[in-house]
Amino acid sequence: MRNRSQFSEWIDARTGLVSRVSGLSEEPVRGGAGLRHVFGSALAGAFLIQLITGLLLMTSYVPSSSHAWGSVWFIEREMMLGWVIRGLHHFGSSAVVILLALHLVQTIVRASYRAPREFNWWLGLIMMFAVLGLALTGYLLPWDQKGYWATRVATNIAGTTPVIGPLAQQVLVGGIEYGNQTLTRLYGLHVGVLPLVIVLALLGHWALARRHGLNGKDRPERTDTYWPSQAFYNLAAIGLVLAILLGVVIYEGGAGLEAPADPTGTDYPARPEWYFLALYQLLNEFESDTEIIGTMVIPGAIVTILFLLPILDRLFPKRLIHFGACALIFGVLGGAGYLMTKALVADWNDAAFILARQEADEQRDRADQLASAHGLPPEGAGYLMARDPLSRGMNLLEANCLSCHAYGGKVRVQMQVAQPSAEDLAAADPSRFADLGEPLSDSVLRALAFALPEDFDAEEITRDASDVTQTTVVLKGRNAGGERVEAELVEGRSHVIVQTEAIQSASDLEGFGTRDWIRGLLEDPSSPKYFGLVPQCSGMTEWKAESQLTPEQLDAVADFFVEYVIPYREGISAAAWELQFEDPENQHPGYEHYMNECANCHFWGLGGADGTGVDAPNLYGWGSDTWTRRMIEEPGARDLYGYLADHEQMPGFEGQLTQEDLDVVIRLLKGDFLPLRASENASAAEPEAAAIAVDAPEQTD
Amino acid sequence: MNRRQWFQFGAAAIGALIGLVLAVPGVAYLLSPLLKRRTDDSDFRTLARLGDLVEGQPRSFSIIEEQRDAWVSYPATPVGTVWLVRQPEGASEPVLALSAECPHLACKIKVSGDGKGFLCPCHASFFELDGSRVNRISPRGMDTLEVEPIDPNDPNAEIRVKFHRFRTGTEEKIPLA
Repeated sequence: MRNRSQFSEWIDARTGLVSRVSGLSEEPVRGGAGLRHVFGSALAGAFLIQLITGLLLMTSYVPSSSHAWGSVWFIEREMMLGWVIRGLHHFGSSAVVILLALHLVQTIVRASYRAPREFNWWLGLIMMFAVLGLALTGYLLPWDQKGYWATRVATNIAGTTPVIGPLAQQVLVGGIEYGNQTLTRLYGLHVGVLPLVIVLALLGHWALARRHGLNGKDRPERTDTYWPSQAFYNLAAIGLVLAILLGVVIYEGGAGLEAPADPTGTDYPARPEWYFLALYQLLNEFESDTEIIGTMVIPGAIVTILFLLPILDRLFPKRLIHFGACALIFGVLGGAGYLMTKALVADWNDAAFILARQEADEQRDRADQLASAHGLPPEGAGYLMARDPLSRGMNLLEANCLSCHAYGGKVRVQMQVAQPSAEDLAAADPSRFADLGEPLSDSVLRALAFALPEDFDAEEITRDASDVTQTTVVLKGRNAGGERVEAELVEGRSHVIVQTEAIQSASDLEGFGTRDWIRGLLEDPSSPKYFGLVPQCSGMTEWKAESQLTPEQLDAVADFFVEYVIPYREGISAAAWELQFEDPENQHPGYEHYMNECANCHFWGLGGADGTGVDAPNLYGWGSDTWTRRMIEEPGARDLYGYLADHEQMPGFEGQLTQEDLDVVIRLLKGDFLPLRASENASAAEPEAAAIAVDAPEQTD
Repeated sequence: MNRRQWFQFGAAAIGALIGLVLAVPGVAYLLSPLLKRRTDDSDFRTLARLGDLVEGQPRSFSIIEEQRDAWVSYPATPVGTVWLVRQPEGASEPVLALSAECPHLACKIKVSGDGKGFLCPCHASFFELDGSRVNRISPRGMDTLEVEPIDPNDPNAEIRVKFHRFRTGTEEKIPLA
């Protein structure tokens, strides 16, 4: 016993703590200190890192379906080094799983499950399940797209358990719908139940490990004690784990956060964390009627054998069981590795997955941008994207409007992925696109021939080899319906991405309801942006042919719309509105031109002249939210385009869109939204120009 | 240095390094609210017109502001109250603006029963109409707020006040960043 201070003696006399600790630290390490004993301690160390970072995260996280995402976003983006803490916790879970696997393999290889260490083995297995439970519940908590969809999949797998499955699922989810109760339950498991199980089991595991000593051959020439030699190796191992973790966190820039959970979205490519990827692939290996083999039978059998190992060891020849156990664990790890690789390769080759992943990345960046700019709405993260015209509004526009209209020159583009099998390629005719000028390999020609229909009319083919990592071939042409089609493939990969553009047959909606739009219309109504593609709406073009208004006068009319027409307020009658212009002193300069030129055809509230027999929509409140909403819901109304024949009218959307959806669509048309980040616009020149424009007025001051 | 000492030194060094790598981000993370100072973006805002106020009758006005609670933005809601007190003619400032937050422990100050002064209902701090202390419960008088200079003869003149919060429980008036 070393010299102790009086203070240590005082403590020791009352608690016995010092003697106990030094007793433990002086304990001899069988076979000498070394790296072969570090796995258990490194695992405990990694768990401790999780415990510390987890407690830190608890001080800021909110387990609610509306605010979990926001709180995680806040940790990640606003709190000092929050991304490091969360990154350590996130990647730390991988470290725990890897170290767990190593510890398990070592235990089996050394046959340390044998008597008298059975309880140690069983406690270890219990902790393994608790760790996997932590890993699963953990990545659901941010309630982002990944967490949400993973929760659905995981709880539905639980639901397929025979007999108790559906009940267990309902208890776990906290009902049938996924929401606050799901999150609070999973949170309770993650921060309370499972860590408690591990800590208690770990205390027992550790005490038993001390009782039985480390398992290793005695080497009498080595007389190391636990402190300081083995402690050094253990700390070195934990330090190494932490250093790697920190490196990964810095390299990856933190754990990342997907867009907020969107239960209505359909194309989120949900994949579990890598350590569950093998289970995920195992699930995919079975048809639905035998799926339970993948989800329950195989994992269940492996678990049962592991639990029974110490007992089998007594019933059967020890060496046979040891050989079997080693074969099992390496078989399981090898099989898991194989399944994981298979899942990764499948995704890498799956163009639909890649496209969905790209879209998920865009949504993730947009959510981050919106949250950074304005914070989250009080109702929660679910409304972040739903109120964003560029996200929700653009989806609605694409789904409902862009098969006829354009937005900023873009029409609806349908994207399909052709994924030919080897037989498909063999059957395809490589000569179809062989004489378009580019030297293309046989496999590329066959893939294109497979992807494009017989009546496809090829126009142009380009081969871009400027990117050293991949050569891209693009074939442009038209299909039988005259729609523009673009087929793209990367040499060496077999899938072809085919984009089909709808044919624009109505106006361009970008800026509808703004001065720019009305001014452009007054300038050139026959442009495809306005009524050029809508022969039934030729009235404006006919007016333009005869109108004598100068550009300045047209400006005045547009200004008149901005000041008096578009700011329409519900409830004010047309007559009351027109009273504003009774006083000639206050008359807007555009009013006169409006009355002389437009009111000949257009109704104007109660006034205006319709004696000419020319049909046109009523312009009272044109461009206001109310007018545009009616135009979307009921374009065939008598005061709108009811004068057109039924087949010439735009279809109405009454009852198909909620008020909130109409609002985001109208805001999208008016351009009332946060523009995408400059870096995503890929034009570096624009911000500079804007900066100059901002500077200019200061110089004139 | 023998083998044992080398291990002792190494173990201590690595242990300290591990502790440091976890402690530095951990402490920074916990102290985020201190390390991140909000810039003073408060501005003068119009609360009333001079003609709305009568000498000797303080009136309270709400400060309405969009609020940011960590990651959530709330639409404009009242975040504070200001008492405006019309000063007698000839005073250097025609209007005195007093924060309704008690400098003692931040309860909300109201006009006392007789209308001749202010009272904080939590711990019975009394103040004069000019905000000075009557009893010595609060460590300082009510906090005055900056008022934009106005023309004392124009009843339509807008009273514009810069709202601010101050640390409670101190004799000195220290603005909260």
